[in-house]
Amino acid sequence: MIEIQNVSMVFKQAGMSGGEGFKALDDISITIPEGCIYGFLGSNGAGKSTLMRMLCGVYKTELGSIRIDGRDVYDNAAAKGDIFFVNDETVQFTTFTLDGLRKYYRSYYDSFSDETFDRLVAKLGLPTDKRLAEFSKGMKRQAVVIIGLSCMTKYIMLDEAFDGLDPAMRKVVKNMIVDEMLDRQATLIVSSHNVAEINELCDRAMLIHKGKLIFADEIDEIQGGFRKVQLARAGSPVAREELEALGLEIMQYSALGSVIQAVVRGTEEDIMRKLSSVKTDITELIPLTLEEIFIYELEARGYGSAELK
Amino acid sequence: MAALNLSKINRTALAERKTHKKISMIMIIMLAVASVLCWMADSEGLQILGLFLYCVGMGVGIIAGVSVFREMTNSQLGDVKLSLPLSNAERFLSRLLTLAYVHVIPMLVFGFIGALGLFLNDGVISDEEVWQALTLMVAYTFFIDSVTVFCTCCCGALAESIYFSVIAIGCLSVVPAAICYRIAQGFAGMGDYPDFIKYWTLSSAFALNDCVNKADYYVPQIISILISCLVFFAAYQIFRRRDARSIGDPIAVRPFFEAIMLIGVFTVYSAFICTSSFNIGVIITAVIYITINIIVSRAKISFKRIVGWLAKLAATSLLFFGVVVAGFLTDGFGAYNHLPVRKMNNCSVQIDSSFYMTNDSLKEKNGEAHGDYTDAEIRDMIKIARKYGKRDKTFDRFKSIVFDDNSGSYSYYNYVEGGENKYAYLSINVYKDYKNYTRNILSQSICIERDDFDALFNELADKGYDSRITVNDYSSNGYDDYMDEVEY
Repeated sequence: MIEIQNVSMVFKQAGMSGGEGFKALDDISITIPEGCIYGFLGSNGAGKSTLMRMLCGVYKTELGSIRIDGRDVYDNAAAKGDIFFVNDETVQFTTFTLDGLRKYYRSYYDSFSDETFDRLVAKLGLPTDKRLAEFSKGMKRQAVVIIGLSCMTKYIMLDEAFDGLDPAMRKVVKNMIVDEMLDRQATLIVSSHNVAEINELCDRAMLIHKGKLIFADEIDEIQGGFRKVQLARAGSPVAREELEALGLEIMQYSALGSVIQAVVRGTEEDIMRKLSSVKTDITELIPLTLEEIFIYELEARGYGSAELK
Repeated sequence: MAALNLSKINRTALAERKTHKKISMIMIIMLAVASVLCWMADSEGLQILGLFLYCVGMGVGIIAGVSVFREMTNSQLGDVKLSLPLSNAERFLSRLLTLAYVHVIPMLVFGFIGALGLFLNDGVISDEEVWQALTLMVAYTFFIDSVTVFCTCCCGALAESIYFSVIAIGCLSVVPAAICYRIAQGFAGMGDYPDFIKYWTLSSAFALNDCVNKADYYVPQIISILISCLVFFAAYQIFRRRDARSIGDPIAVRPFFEAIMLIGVFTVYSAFICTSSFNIGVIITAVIYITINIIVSRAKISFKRIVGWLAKLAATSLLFFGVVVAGFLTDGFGAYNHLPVRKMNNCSVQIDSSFYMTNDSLKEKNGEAHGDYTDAEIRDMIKIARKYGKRDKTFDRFKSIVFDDNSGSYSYYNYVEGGENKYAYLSINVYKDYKNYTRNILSQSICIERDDFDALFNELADKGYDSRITVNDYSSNGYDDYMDEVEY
């Protein structure tokens, strides 16, 4: 289990340039249970990659604490032995062949499985004697994912791992990861801008924006906490203030003639109970996709509102 | 510190070595050629080429060191390597071992093969010098690698890690010797290389050249390697404190940058002081100083910052002049009155001086004291001679030393206003003759008043030292004979 408690991260400005520091993470607290597939969602520069780097000991945690199975991870070889981190670039591997990568990582990870490596390479049909520089971007990604799975670590962290994969290969790689992870009850943490992908792959997710945690929960629970409400009333449409007076938390509101549409935070039962006192001709509650929740949450915080409309 | 997993450190070092295959192969090929050339008994030219290739091999340590520690300057590699299951101590040792596999071990192995070739055949250097050169090469390799690793640990960008390593290696080799030679010993009238430089840096070869005993040569080399190990340890202290956040910053450790800039300024000023080109030195220093600051600051330049850099340069320059003034006022930080630590038994001492009485007649007056004495006697003679020394502390004299062309003669550092009519220069030399070799123990030139000339040599004679004054009279032979004598 990964416990992240009150974690903040301030990047001091580059040594010679002076100036103010930049707060990349602000008091983040989440718990990632074992055996789940956890999605990190967020806008560009939200802090997803920073948090992931802290989780695998690339950055030191100075404010708050991160414990993996009860251990601090920074400068802890044993804890790091349970983690494999795939960052958002593959350029660092280009001088290796896939077989060279196997030997390289085998020297670091005692748990490295040649059997898994051979099986996955055969599954994806990648050449083991060609340098990764000759691979396409997608093939490089596949190669790194194969290495990550072959290290047999308890936790795998993939930062924008599916970038560069075509839809068919994306599905193959995703299935491959999920199968492997489920087989050994491992935990997968994925960060992505692609909300649909997280929705499809993960059972839990969190959303951060400008370093602050917006929500973190099971995906079903997240989706159950928002509804799009459509109300029609002849004569005068239902005003935003009227809805807010009922105690509803409105994230987005629009009106077209006598029909209004609002995105409301709350469960279906709760919203229906509050709306029962309002007389309307039509009342309809529609579940939101994770992507819609992502957009409305960020829009409510003023992020890309002009572009998103 | 948790227990180190040594087998894993070695395993990962070997894995990392494979990622530096190109440098490794270049080193092996180049050093193999160098060692073969050293076996060419009939060609001194080829042997010299071999020795030159060894020097290039030592220099490759900069590229090897920066390359092996590339995770400190490349964020992608930093992401990968900092997340791998090694503690910081294990990771540092693994990288050092990789550097040993890539650079140090090839230098040792092929260096030994080449040395054997020079030893077994008649080569460009003598048999004894072969092994001295081999130890010097090892000490230099450790010096270059340790400074490079230290600089790389202090820098967050590739360019800075390379050029700061080069600057640091150069400046560390030059500045202590230059400051000591030009300022401390110069103001004391001494002309020897300072003894301490033989213990580290590339300038050690100059001091070691004077060594006679085997211990004099090899012990400083061992000390040099130990100092390099301390530098590796200092690098580790920075390495373990750095996570990936500082990768990409040109300078990750600000005090390191300030220190390098300080010794850089001191190096250039030391090179130009006591020459008539000191003003050019100041301009060159300012240009280099601002250029490095601009490079390090990347695109973040403003007028205010340039003014700030100039202010810092001015403060550094003042500090340098402070050191020079202190050296001037204290007669080379007390070096004037310093006596050698080592026993001077069975050494020869020579104290002599001469001047021409050109105003009234063509006569040369010589004062001389020399002979083999005990340590106590030599110390006594030197103390007596120094007692008569004149060391004026006027601004004109200071200005003359710093800005005039005095680089060729250390005796000018004792120059006293008034010219030769009133003063004479006294040279004190203590040396020891070994088989086919003379070792200089002390060499000092001081200025005395002519009025004190007779008193000094009479005092030496009164104390029982073999001292006498002679007068050569050229008046009877005419001016031409006098000039011939002077030129001779």
